[in-house]
Amino acid sequence: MAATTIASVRKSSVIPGFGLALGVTLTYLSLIVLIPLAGLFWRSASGGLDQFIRIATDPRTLAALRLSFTASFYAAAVNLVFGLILAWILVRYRFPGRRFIDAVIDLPFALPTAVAGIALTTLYAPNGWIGSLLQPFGIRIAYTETGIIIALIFIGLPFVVRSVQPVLEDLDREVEEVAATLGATRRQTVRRVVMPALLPASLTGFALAFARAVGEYGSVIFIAGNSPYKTEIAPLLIVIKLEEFSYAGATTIAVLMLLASFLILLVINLIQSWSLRRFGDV
Amino acid sequence: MNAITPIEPGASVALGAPIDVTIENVQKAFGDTPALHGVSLDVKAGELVALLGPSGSGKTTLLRILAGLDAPTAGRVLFGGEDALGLRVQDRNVGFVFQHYALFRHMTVFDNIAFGLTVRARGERPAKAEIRKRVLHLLDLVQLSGLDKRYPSQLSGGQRQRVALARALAIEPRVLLLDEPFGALDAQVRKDLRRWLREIHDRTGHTTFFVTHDQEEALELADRVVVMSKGRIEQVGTPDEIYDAPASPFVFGFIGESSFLPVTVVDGAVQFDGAPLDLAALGTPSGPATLGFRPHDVTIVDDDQPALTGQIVAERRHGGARRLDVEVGPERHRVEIDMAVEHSRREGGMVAFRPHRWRIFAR
Repeated sequence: MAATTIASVRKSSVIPGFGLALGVTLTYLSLIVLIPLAGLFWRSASGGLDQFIRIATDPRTLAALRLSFTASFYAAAVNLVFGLILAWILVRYRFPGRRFIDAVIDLPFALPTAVAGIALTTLYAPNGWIGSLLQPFGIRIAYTETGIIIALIFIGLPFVVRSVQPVLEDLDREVEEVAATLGATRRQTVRRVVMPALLPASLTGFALAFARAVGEYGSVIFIAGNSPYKTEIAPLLIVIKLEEFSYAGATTIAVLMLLASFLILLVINLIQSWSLRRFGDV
Repeated sequence: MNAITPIEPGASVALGAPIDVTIENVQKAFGDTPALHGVSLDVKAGELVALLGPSGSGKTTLLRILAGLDAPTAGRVLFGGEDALGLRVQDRNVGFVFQHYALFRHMTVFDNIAFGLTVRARGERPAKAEIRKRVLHLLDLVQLSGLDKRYPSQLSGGQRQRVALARALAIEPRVLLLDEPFGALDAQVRKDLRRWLREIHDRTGHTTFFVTHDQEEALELADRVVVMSKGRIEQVGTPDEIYDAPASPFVFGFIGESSFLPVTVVDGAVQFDGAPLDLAALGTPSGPATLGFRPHDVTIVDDDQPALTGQIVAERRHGGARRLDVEVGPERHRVEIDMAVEHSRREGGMVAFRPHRWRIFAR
């Protein structure tokens, strides 16, 4: 089946080079992604199933995984809301400094994550600028889960904005105008017409921000405090296992993260393709 | 695409009474660029009016002002004697149809049509069963029964435009505004929809404005045609008046194929290049004027009656006739004329002709 498809594409396609392009793609993917991941699975299985289950069900491992995924989820959710607002403002309004803000949004991409982590810790530590203001109210941010979420929000900021922005720019103004002539208030138009149109792109941004947050290490370890069972994220636990020369332990946690991330991204992808199929192109 | 069957007579649609629309000296400028220079127009309740003009003539701007999507710089708009400019778009109760449909693509056909009813405030919103009844009725009216669960992406262009119209009709608009409603459709679908829109209009009786740059569409569909150019109204009239008695060379040229020649009127008779043409110019004052005629309103002259004579510079087949490009007079004015296919006149040869229908415009 696949062979005939490729053959017929080769025969009839007006775009040449399909065979070559596919070959390059597969080789590249294998070298960069598939082979290292296969090695990971191989290594995690080296201690046998018993050891794998023992590490996987270790309360410290579970606590770290739970923290990583819930903190990443909250951070991505916050980024979803504020990313949408930022994209909206950047696309729909013209104001002085718009280009500056547009450029600032990419900074979390460019900044070394450790720098971001240190900067955030300095700000939010009990004696920092913001931390000292919150201290009297008994609110602690650095060295708590809240601190981790803030660091993850920081590094995930660009994803939703950059996914939604082009879609919003392409969104037909006539659709909103027609909603107004039909009697819809501005709020109803945004909720029932604009937001559904932005849903697929928002989900993409959310998924990217989430995936990035799950794997984040550099910025979090400074602000997290890293106390086991409380503020120890899974990537840090992997590094700790490596330092203890427990390669099987490190790879087991990595495989668990990989599987969980893969499942979550798969679900989001399915939702997206479902919505794309349905709405198609009008 | 299935052909559109005529609507059965008798099946009427209950709607609010149609209203008059009065446009008084409406002006609009975008920054320093004027788009409308004082446009005034009276439209009777239930009339179907075409706003006809080339792009940049201000026709769409006028339509958007009626809808409340744009605000005029000056002037008044009255809906049934009531000031409409003070009302927000949402409260103006107009049905607007865009050229590219502007359907809500994440909603089914049913939800698209029901949208205007479902966004109403709780007190004014019809009951669910009532909304359903009305939507299905409208689907029937636009002949899309059974497609209520489809998404817009699953419909053809003509079907999408009919959904857009049903959606606009659902709110029982006081005025229906259509912006080049058939502009994105291919020729055959266009013709079907045109006839069908006329039938819908005769049944529902909304005061309707539609914008078009297609003179054939305007003449065929409208009760009255408003010809616009450069932000001004050139002429308002019935299709017959517009076609038979165009008020200016612009209208004459825009409404159909045309050729123009500079002539002189002497005591009610037309002269070209100093020679009389035996064409009457009743009511036109003596002096320089413009003679306009259409290529198919021309007779080839074989004897020595007064005629225009010129050299054929190009010929081509044009429908049932042969179309000639002819250069006339010492200044070699180029005009187009049609000639029966049997005539044997070739490029480079001379031809004598005279229009049997024509218009004279004083200059």
